[in-house]
Amino acid sequence: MSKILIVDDEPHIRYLLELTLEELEDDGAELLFAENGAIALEIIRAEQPQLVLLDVMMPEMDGFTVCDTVKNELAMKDIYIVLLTAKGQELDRNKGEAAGADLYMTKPFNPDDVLELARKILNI
Amino acid sequence: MGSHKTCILVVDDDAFVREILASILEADDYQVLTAENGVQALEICRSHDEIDLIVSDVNMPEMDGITLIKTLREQQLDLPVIMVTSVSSISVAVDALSSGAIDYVLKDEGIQETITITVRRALEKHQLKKQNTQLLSDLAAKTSEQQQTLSYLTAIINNMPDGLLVSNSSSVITLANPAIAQMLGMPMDSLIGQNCCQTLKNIFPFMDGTCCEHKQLSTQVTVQLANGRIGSAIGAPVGKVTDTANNEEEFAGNLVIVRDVTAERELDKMKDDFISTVSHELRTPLTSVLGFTKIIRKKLEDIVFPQLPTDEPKVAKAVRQISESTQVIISEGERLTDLINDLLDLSKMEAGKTSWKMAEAKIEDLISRAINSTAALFEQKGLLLSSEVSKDLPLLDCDADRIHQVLLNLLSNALKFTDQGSVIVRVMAESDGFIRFEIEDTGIGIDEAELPLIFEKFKQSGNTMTNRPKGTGLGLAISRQIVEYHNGYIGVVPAAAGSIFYFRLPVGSNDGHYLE
Repeated sequence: MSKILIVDDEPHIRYLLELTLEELEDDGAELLFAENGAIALEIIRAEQPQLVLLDVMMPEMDGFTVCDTVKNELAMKDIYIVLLTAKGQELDRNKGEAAGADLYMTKPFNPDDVLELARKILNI
Repeated sequence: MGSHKTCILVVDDDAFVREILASILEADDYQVLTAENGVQALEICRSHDEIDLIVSDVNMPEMDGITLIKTLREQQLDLPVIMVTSVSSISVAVDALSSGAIDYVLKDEGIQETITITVRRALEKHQLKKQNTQLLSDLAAKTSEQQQTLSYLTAIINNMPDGLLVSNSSSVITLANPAIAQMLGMPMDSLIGQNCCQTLKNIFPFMDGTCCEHKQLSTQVTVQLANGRIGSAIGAPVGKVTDTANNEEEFAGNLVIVRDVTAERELDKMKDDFISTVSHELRTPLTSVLGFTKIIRKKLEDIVFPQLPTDEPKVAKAVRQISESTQVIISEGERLTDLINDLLDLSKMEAGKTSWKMAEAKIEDLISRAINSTAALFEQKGLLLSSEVSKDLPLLDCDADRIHQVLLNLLSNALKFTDQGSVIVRVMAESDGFIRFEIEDTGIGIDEAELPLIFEKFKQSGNTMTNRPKGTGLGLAISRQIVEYHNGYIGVVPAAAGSIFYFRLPVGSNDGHYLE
């Protein structure tokens, strides 16, 4: 079954992404949520989602570290990771690329773009 | 001695002697005044300041010659006096000389020659003496002027906030001010007399031995100062002019000026942090506002509206109003996003922190990319968009994405301010090695008074109070930064109808920018 993990410390943003992607549930996708990097890593290990929408600025463990751990340490290179940042700085983009992120999205993102991307990655 | 005749005062109680002396001297083309004794002579001297020399007898009633000299000197009258004395009283003549007479003449049969020669010699001698006095007083004035300048300079150097260090041609520190001593955390007397290349090479990287060689040192670097402070140091050679005519200089040492820039750097960092924080804090709520509004619109349009009885006028009106209102929220939210992005872009460019990706690009590709991204919008508004690109244009060394940003900006401005007609994009090579890009519209045009302002931040043509601003007001300011980074120039000229915005870029003279 297709799984999408949504990681953001802001409940609003998690809810926004849930509303954005909920129609995929009708097509058999499962939405998972994490409110920080540590929880996200646990879920990624246990559930192995195909797509992770990952906020950059979070307490405890930031998105770069999560991304780097997944892609390099755990060598789960097939997981498609989208970094979401509110900073919009090139430095972040470079750090994201170094951490091995597949895509880098600047907030505010367009819900339709996120949905389209998710359909493409999950092939549904 | 001026244009008037040299004037000699002859003083003698013997009228015969006076006349003889006067006639001898007048024959020599002097102007002659006479007096019978010292008292009379003094009066004449006081009332006639043109007198150049006195020829005086020694023994006279009322006041003798010696007393006359003494009185003249007492009264600060620096007139040369020649004593005329009889042969028998030569000891008196010696007295006279020691009292200040310039010379003496014996009253004998040879007086006609001796007086002429003595007068000439006395005048010359007195002239020399006067010149010498003048020179000495000029020198004293110059010295005092220099001392004053020196004390000003010393006060300036000792009190200036910038640190100053001077070394001579052998790299020995000859001058250091209190500011540099404090900046380096070293007492002044531990600096002066030291070899700067040995003592300070760890602080100033340019003091590496080569700085002692001629004119090597002319550089600006950031240096680490005492107490964790940061300085900006300028080093420059000191030249001593050896030949004014040929402008030749000899290397006389080095000068280092250090400015404490700790506070400036902190401010810069604070500004960057501030912009980054503000941008983050603005984007997060904006993500919710825009995202949820778009979700609401979608749910309304896909699920709610189809369920409504839209044949009821009130419901139809509400549906329309809701659609319009959500659209306003979305477009204004997007404008706010653009504004944040533009502000970040511009502040980074102004701070020189943008990373540029310079590469050779095909101009035709730049133009077709820009036209492709805007063609649909022009079509929607019923405007004709066309391009005229010269054939055989060279490859352009540029950051293609940034030049695209400029073209997009100018095209969307043309779109915004043109209600009917057409927009033409032109590219041509200019004779001076520049490529000229033009975007001509048939829009509202720009008031001539506003032309110099429109490339400034937040300066949009038209009254922003009455006309709702379109866009962020930063597009042209960003475009200018981009074009100027490429060593180009951006400008605007009025067209037959509307305006022509243009920018010129050099084909291959961006040397030096790649390293930034």
